[in-house]
Amino acid sequence: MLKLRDVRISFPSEEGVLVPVDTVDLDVNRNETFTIIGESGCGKSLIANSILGLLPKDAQVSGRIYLEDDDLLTLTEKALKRIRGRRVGMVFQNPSSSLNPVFTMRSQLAEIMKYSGKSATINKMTEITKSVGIDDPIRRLAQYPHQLSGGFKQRFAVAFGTASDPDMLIADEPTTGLDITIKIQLIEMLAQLHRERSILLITHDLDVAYTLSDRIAVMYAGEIVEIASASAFFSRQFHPYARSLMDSHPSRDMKPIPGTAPHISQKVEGCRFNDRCEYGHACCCNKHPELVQVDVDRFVRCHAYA
Amino acid sequence: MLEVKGVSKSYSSGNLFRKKKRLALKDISFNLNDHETLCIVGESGCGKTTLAKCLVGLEKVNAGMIKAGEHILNSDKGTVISEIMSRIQIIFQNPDMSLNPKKTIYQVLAEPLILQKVPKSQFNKIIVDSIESVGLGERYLKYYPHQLSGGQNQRIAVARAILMSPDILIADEVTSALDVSVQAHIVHLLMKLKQDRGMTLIFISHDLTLVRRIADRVIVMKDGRIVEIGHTSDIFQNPSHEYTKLLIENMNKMSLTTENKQEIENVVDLESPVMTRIPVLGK
Repeated sequence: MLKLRDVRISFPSEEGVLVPVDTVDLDVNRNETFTIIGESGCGKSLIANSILGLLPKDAQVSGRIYLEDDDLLTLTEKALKRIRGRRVGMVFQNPSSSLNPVFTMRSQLAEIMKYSGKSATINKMTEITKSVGIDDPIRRLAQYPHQLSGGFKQRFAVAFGTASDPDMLIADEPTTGLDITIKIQLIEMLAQLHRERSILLITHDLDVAYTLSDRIAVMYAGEIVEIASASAFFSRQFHPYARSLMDSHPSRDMKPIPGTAPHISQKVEGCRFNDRCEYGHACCCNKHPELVQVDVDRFVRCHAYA
Repeated sequence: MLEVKGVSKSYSSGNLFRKKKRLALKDISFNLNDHETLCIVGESGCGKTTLAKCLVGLEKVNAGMIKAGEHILNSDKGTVISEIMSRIQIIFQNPDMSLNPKKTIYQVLAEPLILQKVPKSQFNKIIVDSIESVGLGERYLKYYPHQLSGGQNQRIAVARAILMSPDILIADEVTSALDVSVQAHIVHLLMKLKQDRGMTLIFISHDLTLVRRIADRVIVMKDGRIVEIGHTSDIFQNPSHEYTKLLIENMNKMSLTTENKQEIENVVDLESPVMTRIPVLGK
């Protein structure tokens, strides 16, 4: 469905070229939920935005991003517009800033539907609104964003992302800032959706990743360090960072990871995790590890497995 | 240590002609014991933060009182800020908002000392002491908040709160804006400080997995009321209120719970070819 090959995102800056995302390869299969987990600043949201060409103008993206047979990086802005919303829907992190405060939900939904070439009849609109678990669509559609609670706003954001029935949905931190009860409702809703479409989920919340994903990629300092099927990943992590990340969760030992991630302006010669890794070898400091396959459905970037 | 008796707090909204009153806290009563970790849980809008603000005297209560021994700290007659400041300190959720971006870390940390009229000659010693006890070095004092990461800024907020050696530290959702690994750092730091300095900790959070791990006692709040209060093991094993049951059920639904860990240890196959090559990772 979606293929990223050797994707590298760089920004020119006063301190030289910054590379917040380096050599990312991943595949999202049809009807699968693929999750990228990682901590803030690791570049996961940049990947989400690069797919639909939503990065700032000075960003340079190299590599290939295929949506079925189209190479999205070679498309013109006009062609990309036809893909956004119609073939790939997007749900952004913060609904209070992604929804327009001066229009009712109804007119915002109608705009999206017209834009993607669907007729915005009230029947169709109530149907879409109901599909995201909003019980009284007529009343809710007439409201403005400020009249809705955070949970309802995020549901509408999902409704907007799926309004034109895209095959693929990119959800960037959709549950951040929501209460646990609302979070669970949203997760159940996303789980419903995923039976019919592919979802690329970006999150830093391990619980959400655990509940929703089919496959998982872990990012650290701009690189993917481990890809595995979710069930295999949550029973055992191979990469030392992935393991430390899981161990810092309150349901585990809650062991902090020593040190901090390298800053993007910092050039790291060897493994980017080596100064925080408890298993570090001599070769970790000077040789950069490649992502290697260690199991049927598992890739790891670590010298210990090379 | 601290006694909260029948505290109510309401905010008024609306305009001059149509005044509306919204009760944020209704008849809150509990005791805080010495050296315990008391966690307050509940969803957004349940009054957790309002309660914290009343405890540190940022808000005046409308009824009831907050007492420390014989001293009344906050009642409908007003708050006794100077009394509160040396006893109770608070750390807020978002360090980017609670630290002044125009001041260096040194200036940020000097502020409470100026307010408490500490002699200038002692400034340096107190500030260096407190920044070292949160695991940062003296060199951070010349930085501005934007030059530090979220986790480091939260440490600075902790350092500021412990400057005056308070008896009680209130942590209001201090880790919700942080990543899990940074969250672990901050929670460890708070627990260590609590132990070293014999402080009492009020930890406000909506993350039940975390609360279960660190709390001695738990208060569950809903719509401005306390619905349940008890020891952590009681609350999590035999919740009595429907709402608590719902929260715990939700937590179990999606969290990597401890039962899960059992399963995990069983799956680890030490005989697999990869694992034998690197025994240290297989453990």
